[in-house]
Amino acid sequence: MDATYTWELLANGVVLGSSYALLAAGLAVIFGVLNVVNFAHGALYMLGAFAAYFFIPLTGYWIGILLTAATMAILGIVLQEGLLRRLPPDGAFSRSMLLTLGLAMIIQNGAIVLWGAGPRQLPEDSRPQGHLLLGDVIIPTGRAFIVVVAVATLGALYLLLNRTQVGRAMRGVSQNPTAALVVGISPERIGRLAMALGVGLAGIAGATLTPVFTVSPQMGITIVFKVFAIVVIGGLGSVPGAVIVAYLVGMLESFAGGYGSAMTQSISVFLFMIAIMLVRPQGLFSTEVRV
Amino acid sequence: MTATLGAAAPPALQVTGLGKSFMGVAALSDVEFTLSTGTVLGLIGPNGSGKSTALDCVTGFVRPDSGQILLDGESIFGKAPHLIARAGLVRTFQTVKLYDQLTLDEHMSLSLRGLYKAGRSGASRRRSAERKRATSWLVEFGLEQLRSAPAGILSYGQKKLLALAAVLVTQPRIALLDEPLAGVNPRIIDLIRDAILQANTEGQTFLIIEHNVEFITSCCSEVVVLDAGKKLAAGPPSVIWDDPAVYEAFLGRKGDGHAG
Amino acid sequence: MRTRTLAAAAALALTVVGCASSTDSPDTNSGPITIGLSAPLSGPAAALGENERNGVQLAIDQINQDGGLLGSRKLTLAAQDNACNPTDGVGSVTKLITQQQVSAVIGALCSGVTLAAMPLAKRYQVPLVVATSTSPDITTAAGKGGNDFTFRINPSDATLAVALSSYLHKAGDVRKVAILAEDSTYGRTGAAALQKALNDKGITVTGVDFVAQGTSDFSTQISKYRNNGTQSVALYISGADHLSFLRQAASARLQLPVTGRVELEGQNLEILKDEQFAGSSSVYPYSSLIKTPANAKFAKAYESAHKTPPTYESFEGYSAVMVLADAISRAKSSDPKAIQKALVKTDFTSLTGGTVKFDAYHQAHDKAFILQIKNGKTVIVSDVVT
Repeated sequence: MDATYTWELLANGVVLGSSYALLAAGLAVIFGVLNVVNFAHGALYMLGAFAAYFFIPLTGYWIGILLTAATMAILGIVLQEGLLRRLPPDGAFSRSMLLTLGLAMIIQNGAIVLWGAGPRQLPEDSRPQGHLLLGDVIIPTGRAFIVVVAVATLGALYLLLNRTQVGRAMRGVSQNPTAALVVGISPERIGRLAMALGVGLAGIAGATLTPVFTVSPQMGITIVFKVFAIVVIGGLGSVPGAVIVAYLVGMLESFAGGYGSAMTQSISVFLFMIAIMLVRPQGLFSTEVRV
Repeated sequence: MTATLGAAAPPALQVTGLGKSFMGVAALSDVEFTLSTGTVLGLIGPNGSGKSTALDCVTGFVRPDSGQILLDGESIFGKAPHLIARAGLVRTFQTVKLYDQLTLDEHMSLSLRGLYKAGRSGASRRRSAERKRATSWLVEFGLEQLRSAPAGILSYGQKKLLALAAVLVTQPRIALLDEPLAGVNPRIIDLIRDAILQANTEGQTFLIIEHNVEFITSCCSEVVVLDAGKKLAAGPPSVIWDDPAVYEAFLGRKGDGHAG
Repeated sequence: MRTRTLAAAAALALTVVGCASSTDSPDTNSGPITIGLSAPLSGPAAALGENERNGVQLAIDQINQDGGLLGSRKLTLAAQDNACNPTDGVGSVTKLITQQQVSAVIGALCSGVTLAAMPLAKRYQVPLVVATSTSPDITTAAGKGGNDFTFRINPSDATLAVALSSYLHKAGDVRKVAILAEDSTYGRTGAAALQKALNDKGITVTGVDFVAQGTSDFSTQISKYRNNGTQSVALYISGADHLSFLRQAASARLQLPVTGRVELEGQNLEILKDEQFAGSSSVYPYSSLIKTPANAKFAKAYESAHKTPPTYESFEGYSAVMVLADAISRAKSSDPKAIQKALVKTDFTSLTGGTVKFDAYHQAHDKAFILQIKNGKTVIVSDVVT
């Protein structure tokens, strides 16, 4: 095990972290603004991957990713208007969990009925070809693109949340919904936007993985729990927290797996979560305890 | 902009027959009051008399059971809170409600944003006027050094000042303040009173819930007294304090007020 | 309110369905004969379950077309999803036996689920034909092991691992093998069996990694194999994960042959025919390439129905129905206990030319095949009787 190996693990960690960051940011936006724990996030990520599977061969990689993001954002708005907004205000939180859990089942099994349970992969000529060589470290182009897309998307998300009025309004609603009402911010509009963003981000995460992994209706099942752990460690509803922790967990997993076994890799994130919960129950990047 | 003008124009806010019960217990019954443009109306009464419920009904946070609420002659009864806010009724809360991780500047700009749709004509001129107003209120309240800091680090008094500034900067049709002075020190009381008087001089209409007798007497042109959810009396402060019923219900029971 | 109404409606619907199936009185002398199938139709192994169900359905259709069994009684399929999860598995088998009154159960694909379902077969005295689960523990518990109602037609991983290790040893160019297995009974028992068989042949195991089912990213493992002297990677992972690993190994230029339980067909083959995987091998009880007339006929019928060649699971599902049909005909009854008695005496020629005949542990010894990729094509190197 030499320096190249360490660099290789580092590069793997960044790629892994980029996928986690896209997913975790979306989950955090939805939780922060709507106070909804979105158990359907993994299923929506899978839908994003399927959307890209259909789009990319028609339009090429970059436009395929954009189309996927747009389609999924619209789906987010539909879910908000059709389902989440209709929850009665009392007990909306616990009902939203049952609702999104049911939604996850429906999407997943619907996908099996529609597309079959078998794995699919993009045709060879639709995938980003070749690989980058950083020193002795080989990074397949498709994986490098994950990092590029994640950095660009998360950068845009940062600007949206911090440099625009509508972003300030979203952060305002997530921190104090009542105060936001008083200044005339429409909770419906912000809710739609949050779901559009959250589901769109899940879609982008799925889309970037389509050329690298295989696409199958089950692909969202395992990852969603990891992403929940990341959002909890980051401080529920904190978007920057979720993103930073996503990259930390990507590194942690990569090194835990590289120097230990695949088992240490898969439990490392949950051990990390338990440790953080003991030391700092509100999460790493939350300034207060949220209910 | 004075209250004596324009008999034809409807009052800024007219509340009649307002009723609200919680699980069969009447919190408000048949409350009525009128707020004229450019005046400061005080809403007073002992704890639990229904002042905050009345404010919540008017601003849409609680849906009233009965009555009529007219803003400039248009009904806002039972509308959603953010729509009432957009219509020009902007309030503060007894427990100050801010966004802890947003900066002071972000508070001011959020406060302005929700009320004005992003119009195109004259937007830039209006924006620069708004920015100037925001700065001047922050300067007046001694908060300009902290404008890039998150609101979470402010002291309680500073939070109350920020909440007030965020309302005043929007120059709403009516500013509704729920106990603006509660829990703050005398220096900040002075700042708040001066700010309210200054804004009123510039034409700002206010509806204020407050226990501080001296403040009510010096600031309000008219006072409405609630007791057990009912309107007990109404009139200029000087007259109200002489009403024995008011004295007994409000001052007598509290035992801490001496009519000035 | 709305949710409550919905929940009530759903509960009502379930009750209605439950009643409908439980009122079908068990009639062992006339009417259709129901064959139960418990397989993962959702969850990480759903693709495999689908393949198996397709095979089972094809066999049932063929038998019905030829006039059914026991004087024109038709076969019907009752399939239940077990999600590759022992809890759902027990529920699915209980439902098949107690509510759907099946004459026999085929199941449960995932070894862990099969092990959990076996006691039910014994308790209710309904034969369980294991067709695809490869854990050695199943054999140990069946037949002489105490569970008279469990029969396995496919070989266990222990025998497959021995066959593969002998082949690798003889081929001679691989001396260091890493094992990548899914964290399931299948993966764990398979990896243990191969590790032991490889050690017996003097081949070093550089590491055993167990990955959770549904793991999508294998970059860490690929980096490790590239850097620790591994000469070949033995796989005990299934479904989407399997294809995903090969896809990533290819694009990361791992340049090592794979071995273990690799289906050298379909999408896998598209990836593996690349020269960087030259010398990849596998041990499988089935390949659609097997040139027996019976298999050619089966593969053709399957392809015309499903547009893809049959897989191992399809083959085993098909065979399980055929073995059961044979037993039912000999028993002259659709009574589960009579079928069990007939199954014990099975002597059935498999599609691959082997013989399905149960030993004292109710384990059949059909053929298995060592497959290899040569010049971008899968070829059968040898067949072994397991």
